Amino acid sequence: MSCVLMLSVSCILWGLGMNEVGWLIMVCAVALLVVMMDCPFNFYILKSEWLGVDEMSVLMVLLCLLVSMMSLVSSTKEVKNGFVVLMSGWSVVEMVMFICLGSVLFFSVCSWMDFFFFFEFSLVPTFFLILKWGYQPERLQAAVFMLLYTVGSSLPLLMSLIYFWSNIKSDNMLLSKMVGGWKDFNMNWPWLIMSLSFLVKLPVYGAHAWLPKAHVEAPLSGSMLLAGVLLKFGGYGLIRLMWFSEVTNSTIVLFVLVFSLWGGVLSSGVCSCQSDLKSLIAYSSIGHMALSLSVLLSFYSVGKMACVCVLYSHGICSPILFSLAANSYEFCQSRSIMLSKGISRIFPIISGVWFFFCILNMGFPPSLNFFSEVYSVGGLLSLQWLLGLMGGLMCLMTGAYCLILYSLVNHGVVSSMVFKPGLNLSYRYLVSSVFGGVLLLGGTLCLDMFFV
Amino acid sequence: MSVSVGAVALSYFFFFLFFFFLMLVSGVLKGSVLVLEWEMSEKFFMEMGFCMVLDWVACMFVLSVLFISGCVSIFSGFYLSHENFLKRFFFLVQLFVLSMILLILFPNYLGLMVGWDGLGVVSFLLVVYYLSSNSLSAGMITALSNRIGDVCFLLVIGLMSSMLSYSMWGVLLMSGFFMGFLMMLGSMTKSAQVPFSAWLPEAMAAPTPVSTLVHSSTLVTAGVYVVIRFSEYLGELEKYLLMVFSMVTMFLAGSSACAEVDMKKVVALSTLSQVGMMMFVISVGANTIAFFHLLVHAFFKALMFMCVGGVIFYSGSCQDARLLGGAWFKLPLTSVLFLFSNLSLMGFPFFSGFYSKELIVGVCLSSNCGFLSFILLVVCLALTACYSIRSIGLVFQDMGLSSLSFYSMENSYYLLSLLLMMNGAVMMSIVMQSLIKEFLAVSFIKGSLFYSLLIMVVVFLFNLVLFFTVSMKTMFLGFSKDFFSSMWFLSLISGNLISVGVLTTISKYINYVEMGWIRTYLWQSGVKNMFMGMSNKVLKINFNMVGLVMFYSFCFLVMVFWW
Repeated sequence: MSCVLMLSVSCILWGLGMNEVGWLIMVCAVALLVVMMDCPFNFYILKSEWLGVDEMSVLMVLLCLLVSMMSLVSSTKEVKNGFVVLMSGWSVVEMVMFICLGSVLFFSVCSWMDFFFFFEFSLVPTFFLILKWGYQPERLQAAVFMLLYTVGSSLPLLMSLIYFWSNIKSDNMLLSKMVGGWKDFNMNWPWLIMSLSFLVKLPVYGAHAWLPKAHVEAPLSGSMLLAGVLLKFGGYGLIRLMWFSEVTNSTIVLFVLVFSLWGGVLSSGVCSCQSDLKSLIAYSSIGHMALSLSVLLSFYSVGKMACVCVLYSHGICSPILFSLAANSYEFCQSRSIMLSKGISRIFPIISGVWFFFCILNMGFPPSLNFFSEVYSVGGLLSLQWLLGLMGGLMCLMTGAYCLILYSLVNHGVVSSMVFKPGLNLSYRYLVSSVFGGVLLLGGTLCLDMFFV
Repeated sequence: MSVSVGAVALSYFFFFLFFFFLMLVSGVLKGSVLVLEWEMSEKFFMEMGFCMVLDWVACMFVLSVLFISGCVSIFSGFYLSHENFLKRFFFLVQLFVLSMILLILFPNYLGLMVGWDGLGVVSFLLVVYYLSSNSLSAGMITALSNRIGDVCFLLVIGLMSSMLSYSMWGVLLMSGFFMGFLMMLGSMTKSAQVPFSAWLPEAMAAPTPVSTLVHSSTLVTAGVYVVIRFSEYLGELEKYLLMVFSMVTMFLAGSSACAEVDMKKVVALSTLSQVGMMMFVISVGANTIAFFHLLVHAFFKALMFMCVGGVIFYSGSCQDARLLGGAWFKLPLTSVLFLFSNLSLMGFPFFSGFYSKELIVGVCLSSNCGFLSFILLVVCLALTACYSIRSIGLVFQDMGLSSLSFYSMENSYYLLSLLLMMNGAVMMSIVMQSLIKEFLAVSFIKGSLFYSLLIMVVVFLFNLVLFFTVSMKTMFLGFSKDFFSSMWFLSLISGNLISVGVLTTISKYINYVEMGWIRTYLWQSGVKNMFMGMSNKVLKINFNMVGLVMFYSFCFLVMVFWW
């Protein structure tokens, strides 16, 4: 593992004089994935001093690589132009690859300090990505929001991890868990303070204000990576933290569960009334993440499996919706729903792809989204019938806003902003959409791999 | 265009013959069932897989769906002949038929949801096919009513995950508390029972071939089929509730069809009342009779929709029945078949609807469904007769208002589809009752002549009373007209009130909470002021010598005495 890392770092250093160093970083990340592939089912093994794998880590690393590839393929505006915007030598490809590398390492390290380091590390390239390559002047406030919310809420986590490290004298995940550091504690309130950073990253409804701003103002690859990978940091961190901190099912946990579930219902309702395409998709991310968090906190084993499945399926579906929204931004230069209308008359295949991903977002069988949604609602129903009913209400509102999204973009007479002569669409969007669609539909066939 | 129409129709008829053969094997000759299971995951304790069952029920239903789809493909070659995007339309129709067949062949909740969700979503696309705002609102109410059913089914799957099996025989092993009720509720949304009935007349904004296939025989009967398949989950309470709701649906549909002016909506409401009758029979306990009525009704209702579609097409796409008329003189085949299908709908003796309706009345008489429900059943039969005769009159009589006088000749696609459908509608009832032993075993009630004529006389007398009541205009105008023509105000409540209320509430919520508290107070005014103000205060302290000394000694004391 160390040799792989050394190879990648040396490639970066060498590549500062090269043009296409980003692709080299991606090759190194794929090499890391191949190293990690040999892993057993249910338990967590340490591959080396730095790497620890279980099936969930492999799944998340795979997700990072796929989303990075799709985001680079779809970002035609930044990559394909003759005029490439550079920021002190780094183009958007390198930024995306840095985020990818940071994410891959986050999902695979096995010591808590490295975990925290890479948790915060991925924010830096994202910050630069939003600031340099975003489209509107509101991106400054959006990027500052994102940084301040996420970093500010992760300070308690840092403090408690340092305290724990100084007590147990090792911060290896497996070793410290086996030695057993928390068994004398009543872990309710400390767990809440520690997981605050993951809850804000995930995001839970009350602390979600950074997400629509950041998603909307980021460029396409930034939105895709944010929705696809960076939100999953919160989920992954919560699963590891729950295992590590031995928190039990108590009032605090139930409070967070109900809070997030009700917040999911509210944000799905808010989705139906948005006037900005990217903002609509961003609020739908909040809804899905709320569902996954609430079923995770039910402490059932199917809850954890359904949570991972929601994270994965949302991480593939939502970036593609963002790429379709960027598609419509490309031909009418606006994200407003008033201007990009009626494309089913002129772009039938893109309209079909819009429909396909809208219904995948609302959980259309036999895709992976359907199974994740079913087992989330099922897990909540097994805990308490009222929670299952609220989960069902959230599915209903998800269906409503997905159909609203489809009909806003595709229905009706073609708007005059869209129907211009010489209008053409890049087929890169189609390629990434087909890729994502095949993954989500074909994921049903190997369900055991995603239900970790 | 003829190549694509021909190819599609031929493929449907080929598969129809294939399933006919399978039905003969399973239903008539050997009585065997083929079960194929595909297990998907082994991480759960229970069997999680798609389980396909080919028994006589599935084969009969599939062959009816395929036959009707074949005729509808030929019919849409006529009705949508001026359409540019005909291939896209055929693609959508084929997706729909595929979803329906998946629903029929997989009586397992995981596989059934593929067909169920597919039906809801593809019917949304088909209803919004004409890209107007009218069809968008119709499509939204269709899709959202179906989505409520999807959510109920999701909850059923969640409940079944604690039991041992997702299939229809799971009730033999373990059965949960609310499963029957949620399953019934989900089927009620799909089959447009009260209180989810508002979407069915609105969905007539779809093109007529879509209405023929979707809203007469396949989509609305999907709910009935699921209840038939999973009928062992229904307990006594659920059966009573189903009886009450289906009764109300029948009465609502019958009375509203008498006051409706749009021709397609009249036929839609007649479908609704027949589906209510099917649900009523299931609630009494006779699943086989309900299935028989389902199949027979599918054929003659599709025939009726095709005739109405022809009349509408030849009147220049006018759907308002006050401007139609005169088909008796101009469209002979259409008018004969329309008369035939209406008489079947009424249950006229020895037409094809008679066999199933007679069985329905017989089983209701012999079961313990109560006196009041029997009275209501007879009232609904009378209302069926009333609106059928009314629609015959509206279509046949020449008021001199329609443009039907100007057309030239009937299209060959139209004639072909009508002839094929006519064969189906006439023959199917008798063929099914003679060949399928389950249908044969149920029937043969030998009543005396007096009792069988009694119902016909009661129906006639009721219609006479209704006619004389309606001709007294002072009583009929005003409240009753609004009440009946908006389906007992259900269409106004379901569409306008709920959607406007919800969206307004959400908008206000966004304004006050989302943009107000969360975005503004938490960052822009509150936290930002706190953070910026705090750092300003710390800086101000450090500018003064005394403040500087005190601040640093405070930090020093904290660090020394806390650690």
